[in-house]
Amino acid sequence: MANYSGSAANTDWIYSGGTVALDGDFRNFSYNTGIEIINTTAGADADATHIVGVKSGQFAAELVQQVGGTAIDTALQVGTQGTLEYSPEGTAVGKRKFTIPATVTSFALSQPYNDIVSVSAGFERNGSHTLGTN
Amino acid sequence: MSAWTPLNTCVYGTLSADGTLTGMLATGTPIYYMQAPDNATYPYVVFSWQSGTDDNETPRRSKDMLLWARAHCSVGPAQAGSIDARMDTLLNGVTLTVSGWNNFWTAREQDISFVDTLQDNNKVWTAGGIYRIRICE
Repeated sequence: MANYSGSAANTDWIYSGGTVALDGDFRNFSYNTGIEIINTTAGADADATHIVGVKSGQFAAELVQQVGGTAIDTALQVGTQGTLEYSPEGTAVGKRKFTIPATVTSFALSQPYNDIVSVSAGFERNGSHTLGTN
Repeated sequence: MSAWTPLNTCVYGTLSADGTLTGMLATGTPIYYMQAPDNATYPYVVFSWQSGTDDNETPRRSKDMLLWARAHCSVGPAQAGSIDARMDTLLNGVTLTVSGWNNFWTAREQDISFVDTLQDNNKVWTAGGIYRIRICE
């Protein structure tokens, strides 16, 4: 077994305007998945029961913004649809890769007076993801 | 890459290129890194680094440095203060040119002044400031 650090990540956002690498100046990526639970408990049931509903997923990226250029800003405008290719361990052959169809649902720019300007983008998964390898 | 040499070149170049500052100092260009030579003529300027850290928060390398620039004078505190004020003009809130790096934040954070009494009972007044300098590749 061996640990690995977050710095290994490679993430591309592929959309109609091209492919944008999100990992060049990233601070944090997160990918959360969940499933809807439908409660079926009834009557004199002593224990709660449920059936499972639909799955969902949200991806978030926090990036340090660089001077000049608008490529990343353009690619991350809300409503933009495309595919995320998220490789937490990097892109070496055999390393895991999530392929996630998604829509950009939030874009935030943070500009503190005495610190680096950063941008945060949120993505809502659109369909199922594929867990494969590079 | 290490930032020491480009940072030192930048600070020395910024200070020594200013005729107003050098006109306030002893003859020559008495601006020194870390320590003045023995028997250097007052007033002069010394700069050094209080600390330097790598941010390590994105793949792009960036550094957060603390520069201590100060004037040493034998006349009195006012002279040291005047020289420090000129250095403040040259260093506070400016964009420095650091070879191989981009400077995105330079600001004075602390003021420091004190007096030393030498073995011959002469006094040396010091006034300066700590400047945070942040650079990225």
